[in-house]
Amino acid sequence: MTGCSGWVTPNPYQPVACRVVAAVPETSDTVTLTIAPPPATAWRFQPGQFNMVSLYGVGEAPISIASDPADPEGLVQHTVRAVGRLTRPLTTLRPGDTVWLRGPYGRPWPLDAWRSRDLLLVTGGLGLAPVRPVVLAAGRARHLFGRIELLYGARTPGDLLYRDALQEWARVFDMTVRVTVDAVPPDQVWAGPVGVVTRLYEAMTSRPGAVALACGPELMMRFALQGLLDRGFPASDLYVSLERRMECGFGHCGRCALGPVKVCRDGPVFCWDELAGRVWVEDQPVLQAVGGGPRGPAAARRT
Amino acid sequence: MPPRLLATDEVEALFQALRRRGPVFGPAAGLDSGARPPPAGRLTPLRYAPLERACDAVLAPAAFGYPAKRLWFRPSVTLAAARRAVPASGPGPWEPGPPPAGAAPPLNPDPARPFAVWGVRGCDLAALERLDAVLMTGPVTDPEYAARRRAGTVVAFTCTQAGPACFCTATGGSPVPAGGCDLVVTPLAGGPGGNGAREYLVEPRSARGEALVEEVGGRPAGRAAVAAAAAVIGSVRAALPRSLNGRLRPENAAQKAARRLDSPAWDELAGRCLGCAACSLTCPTCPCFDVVERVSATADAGWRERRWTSCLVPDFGRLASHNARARRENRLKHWLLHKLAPAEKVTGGLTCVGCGRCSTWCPAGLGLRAALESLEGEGGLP
Ligand SMILES: Cc1cc2nc3c(=O)[nH]c(=O)nc-3n(C[C@H](O)[C@H](O)[C@H](O)COP(=O)(O)OP(=O)(O)OC[C@H]3O[C@@H](n4cnc5c(N)ncnc54)[C@H](O)[C@@H]3O)c2cc1C
Ligand code: SF4
Ligand code: FES
Repeated sequence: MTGCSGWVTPNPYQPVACRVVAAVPETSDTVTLTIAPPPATAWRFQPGQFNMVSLYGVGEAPISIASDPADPEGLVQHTVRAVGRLTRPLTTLRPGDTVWLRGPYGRPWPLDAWRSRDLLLVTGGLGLAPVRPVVLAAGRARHLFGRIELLYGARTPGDLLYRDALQEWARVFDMTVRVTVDAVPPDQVWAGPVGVVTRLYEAMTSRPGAVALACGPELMMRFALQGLLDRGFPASDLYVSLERRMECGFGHCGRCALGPVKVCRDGPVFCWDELAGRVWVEDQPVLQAVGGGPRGPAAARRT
Repeated sequence: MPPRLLATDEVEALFQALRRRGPVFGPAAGLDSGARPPPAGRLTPLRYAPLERACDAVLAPAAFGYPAKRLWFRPSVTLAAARRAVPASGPGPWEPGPPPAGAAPPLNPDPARPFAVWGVRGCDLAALERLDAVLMTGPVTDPEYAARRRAGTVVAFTCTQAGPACFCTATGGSPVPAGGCDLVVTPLAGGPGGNGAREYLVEPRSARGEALVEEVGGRPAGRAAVAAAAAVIGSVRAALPRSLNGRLRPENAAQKAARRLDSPAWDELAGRCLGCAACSLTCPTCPCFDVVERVSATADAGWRERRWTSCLVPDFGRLASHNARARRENRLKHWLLHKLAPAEKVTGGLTCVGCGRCSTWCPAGLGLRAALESLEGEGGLP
C-alpha cells in the first residue's frame, strides 16, 4: 500500500502550512495553484494521488495532485474548481498566501505495471487534472512506453484545462492528443471536433492491447468504459479514478466507502476488473450500468 | 497462568489494585450531572462512568447500556488547531496553536494515562477488535485510539444471563470474552442472581492481567470451579439464538442479503426509519465520523473536530455534485450490508457483534434483526 509516504508526523490530521507561489486561471471557475511545501518536508507523490487541502476556519477537501512528480523544486500543483465553501476561496488565493496540505493519500495509477504498453488516456472536464502527472511522468520516461494517446473532452472551448500545454505535449512527448468539446457557445471559436469524448473513439488509433484509463465525471466514465469494452479492451486493462466524499483520506472515517471498498485508501485508482461484482448501494448506480462492473440494487435505478 | 478462583472480597481487591493505577470505568446507572432526566416510564442506557467499588458496576446485558467504545474512540476530538492575531488592520496569518478552552480535547492529549474498564462484555470486546481493524491496521494508525488501547486495562466479564435482545452467537461470537483483554472474569453460580456470585473464576489473558492476579492472590481454580464456570456458560449459550434469522449464518448473511436489495421490504423499512442515528450511536462497532471545521466567535482561533456520525443521516453521502444516498432505503441497505460483512475483511464473522443495542434503542422498533425479519417475511431470504 502506498498511501502516506509524504509527511510523517505523529498526528495524521495535522496539515502543513505551505506558500502559494503562483495562481493561474484555467477557465472562468478553475485555477491552478502552484504550492511550495516547506523545505524541511520531503515531498514525494505518485501520479493519481491526492492531498487533503484546507484553509483554517473554512474547511478541508480532497484535491488531486496535478503536477510533475519529479518537479526539481518539489513544487506541488492543484487545479481547483470553485464549487463550494472551500473551493471558492481556494480559487481566489494569490501568490504569498498560505494554504494547508496533508498527504499524499491514495493508490496511484500503476505506471510501473504499464511499462512497454501503449497508453490510452480518456479524460473529461476536471478529470484531466489527476492524469496530467501521468502525461508528464510517462512523457519524461517516453522510451518506457509504446504509443501514447490522450483523448480529452470539455463542455466548451472555454472550459479546456492546460490549453497551451495540450499541443506542447503532443509535440514534446511524441503523443497523440485529440480534443473535443460538447458545445460551442456563440461567443467562442473552435475548429476542432464537437461531441462527447467517446466520439473520439472513431478516430483514435489505440487498439485492444493498450492500457486505457478513464477519468472524469462518472457518467462520462460509464460511456468511456462501455465503449472500450465494446471495442474488445479487456476489463483487466481498464483503469478508473473514483471520487467520493472524504473526511480523513486514509480509511478511517467511512465516508468514501463503496461496499467493502474505501475509495481514499483502496483507490481512488481502481482496475475495472477489481470492481467486478462488488456491491455498492447508491441512489444513482452510474457505473453499475457498465458490463462486468460493480453491482447494486436495481430499485435504485428508478430515480 | 492457569485460572484462579477469587472470593468477592478478593475481586474488590482486584478492583482497588486497578484504581491505584488510574480511574476504573464500569457500567453505571444514573445520569451525567446536569443531564435532563428522561420522561417518566422511559429508561436511559447504562453508561461507563468512573466507579469506586466493584459492586457499583451494573453487570446487565450489554444492550441495556451505551457501548464501551467511547472510552477508546472518543465521540468528539480536536484534530488540529490554529490561531491568528486579529488587529484592527485585519486578521493575520494562521499559525498552528492550541485549541481554545471549550473545544473538544485535542487528539491524544495524554497517551500514557492508565485507566481500566471493568465489566466489558464479550460483544463489546469483539467490537473493539472491529474498531482496531479500522483505526489501527491500515496505512495510518489513529494515534489517539492506539494510545488509549495501550493505556487501557480491560477486565471482561463472561455473561451469566442472555439478554432479551442478545444474539452474539449468531454473529460468530460467544458469551465468553475472547482475546484482546487483560482478564476474563466468570461469576460462578451459587450466590443470589448472576451478579451476586460469591466466587469468581479469573483467567489472565496478558502479562498485565497476570501481574494483577499475582497482586491479589486467590487460589488455583480446581476442577469443580472450572466445571461450574462451564455450566454457567452452557446455560447462557442454550438461551442464545444460533442463527441471525432462520437460515442466515455469519458465513452467508452478507451474500444472501445482497441478493435481496430489490425487495419491496426496504420501502416499508425506510418508511419507519427516522434517520435519527440512535442505532449507530449505541453500536459498539460503528467507526464513522465527520470532520467539522470550527472557528471562534472572534475569528482568532480555528480548529477541526472529529465527531461520531452515522451512515443513516441524510448528509452522510453528500458531494459537491449530488447526494450519493439521499434515499433512506439506500442508506439502510448500505448500513445493513456493512454490518453483515467482516470489518475491513480482517476480522472473522460479521461486523455486527450481536449486542442487540440497535433493536433496544431504536425509537421506531427497527434494528438489524428486525430489518432481516422484514426481508425474510417478504418471500424469504434466498
Ligand atoms: C480523490 C478526489 C480528488 C479530487 N480532485 C479534485 C481536483 O483536483 N480539483 C477539484 O476542484 N476538485 C477535486 N475533487 C472534488 C473536491 O474534493 C470537492 O469539489 C470539494 O470537496 C468541494 O468542497 P467545498 O468545500 O468547496 O464544497 P462544500 O461547500 O463543502 O460543498 C459542496 C458540497 O460538497 C460536499 N462536500 C463536503 N466535503 C466534501 C468532500 N470532502 N468531498 C466531497 N464532497 C464534499 C458538501 O456536503 C456539499 O454538499 C476531488 C475529490 C476527490 C474525492
Ligand atoms: S434504524 Fe432506528 S435507530 Fe437507526 S436511524 Fe432508523 S429510526 Fe434511528
Ligand atoms: S475518506 Fe475517510 S475513509 Fe475514506
